Amino acid sequence: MTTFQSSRLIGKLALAALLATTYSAFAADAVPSSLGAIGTAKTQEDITIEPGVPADSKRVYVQDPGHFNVTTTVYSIDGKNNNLLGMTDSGKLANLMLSSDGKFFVTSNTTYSRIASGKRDDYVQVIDAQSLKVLADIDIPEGRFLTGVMERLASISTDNKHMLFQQFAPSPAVGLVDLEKKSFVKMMDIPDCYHIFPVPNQGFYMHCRDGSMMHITYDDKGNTKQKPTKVFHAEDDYLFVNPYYSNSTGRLVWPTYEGRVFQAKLSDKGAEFLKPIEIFSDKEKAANWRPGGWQVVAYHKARNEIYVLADQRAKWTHVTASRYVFVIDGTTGKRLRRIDLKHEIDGISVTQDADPNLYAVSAEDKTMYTFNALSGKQTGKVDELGRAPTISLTLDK
Amino acid sequence: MKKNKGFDSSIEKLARTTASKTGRRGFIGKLGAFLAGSALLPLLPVDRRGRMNEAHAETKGTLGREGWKPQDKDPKSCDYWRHCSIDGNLCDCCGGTLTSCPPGSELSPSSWVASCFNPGDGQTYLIAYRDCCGKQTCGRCNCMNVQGELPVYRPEFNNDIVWCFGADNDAMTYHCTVSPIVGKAS
Repeated sequence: MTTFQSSRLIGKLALAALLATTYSAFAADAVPSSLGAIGTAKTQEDITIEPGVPADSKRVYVQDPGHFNVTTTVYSIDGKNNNLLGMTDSGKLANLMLSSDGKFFVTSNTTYSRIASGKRDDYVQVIDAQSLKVLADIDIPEGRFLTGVMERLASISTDNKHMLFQQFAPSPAVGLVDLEKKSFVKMMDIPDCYHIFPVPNQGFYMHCRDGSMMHITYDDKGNTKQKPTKVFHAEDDYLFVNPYYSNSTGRLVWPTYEGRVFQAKLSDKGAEFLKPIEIFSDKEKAANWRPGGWQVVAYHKARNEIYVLADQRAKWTHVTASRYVFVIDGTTGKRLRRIDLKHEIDGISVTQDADPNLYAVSAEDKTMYTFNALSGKQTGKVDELGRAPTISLTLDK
Repeated sequence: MKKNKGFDSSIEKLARTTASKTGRRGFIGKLGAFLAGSALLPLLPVDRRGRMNEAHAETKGTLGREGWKPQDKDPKSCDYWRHCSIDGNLCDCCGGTLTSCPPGSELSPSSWVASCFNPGDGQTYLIAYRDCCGKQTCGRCNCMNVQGELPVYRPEFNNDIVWCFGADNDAMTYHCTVSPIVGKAS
């Protein structure tokens, strides 16, 4: 017994000496020497880090900003199997942007040196969609517009070369980031306009206070040319803060608080505004059917179907969750079907494949529910998604 | 909410005209000066009955799809009339009051506005919501009221924005919101 204890002690001392030579005594992340052999035992089974899987058409990302928390969590989810693949940390009210090929995504972040105060630091990260490793970390000026997460207050350009983010204070501007050179370029002055809808050839549109849009083009140094479009909606047509927009087609779908859907086809040649669609009949309007939630609209490009999250609700309840999705034809406005979600839902998105999924996120349930978008049948769910998930993003292709 | 369309309309026109003729900083500065001046107004009648009975802060009176039904008894409830356009946490539940920030936080000088109907006296008041900043989001008494709330392209009426512009130390983290009265809207 005594001999055994002595040999164990000698073994521990030898291990401690080995660790001491391997790790700096001041390294905060070093394995503590006091753990000894037990705490660093070699296992019979290999322990590895999952390599991840490439994003497919059913991939979905759910964002949890935690009701204005100092961090935002991005959940990468395999929507085919309702399986959580991994998480990515991002800063306060971070924006999330997906590349056109689904191979990487970008977050724009704000953090503080002392948790919720101290020196502010804004930065952009490029993340590999499979491994979830950081591919690039780019410093930007401390000017991100901090709001409840609005998807299009930051965007990747249609060719994936640039990233654009909105500044509100001290003056309206859009920041230009060169993703290929991994560097910030310039804050570009803009008028009183909001949201960023990229089009080819280094251009984007913004929606302006007077109901028009501004077509802005920029060169590699951030010099801009700006040209307004006509006013396309009335002053009292209040548009939800999270429209649907496709970088690949330029299709913009934008409902109002009262259920009128404005649409546009944006390109580097100009903006074509489509005839507005009324989601609800006069009888339904009289019965108080209105859209509502945080991310209230999705669109399936190949099927030309608009999905709107809605419920019977009083006026001025437009951010309260809804229980139904109305599916309408994107051209005629004809009602195609109504999906009863049977949950209180804050945000929806759809995949772009032939048999699309509809993802419905509930902040109250902290859950993403998966539906077959065509049959309306719930096929799965992923729960325990942070504090208050409100928005989900799917691939554009 | 009982809306005063004439008053709202006047405020909107003023805001739009000012915004179109001035820079953002100038506009916010002027609005801040206007609101600071309003603090010198005599105290308006406010019903604080019931406040002493509130020792807890479990979120109450959250807005449902049935719509806004204000009460004038419990300021720590989301349906208290002054909170008609708060999308966030009531400072009253976080160590502050209706008009004061919790200790250690920073008061923002900038605000969004809404007009709220007080069922106690039948009057409508203009409320200038101020965010208290520089601390993690409070998390208690989380309300999502949107009476008269307009989209982000009308920012002076939007409550999705972190209204911590101009707070000391440029503390842009949101903690909670107070609901001071600017004046009668009718």
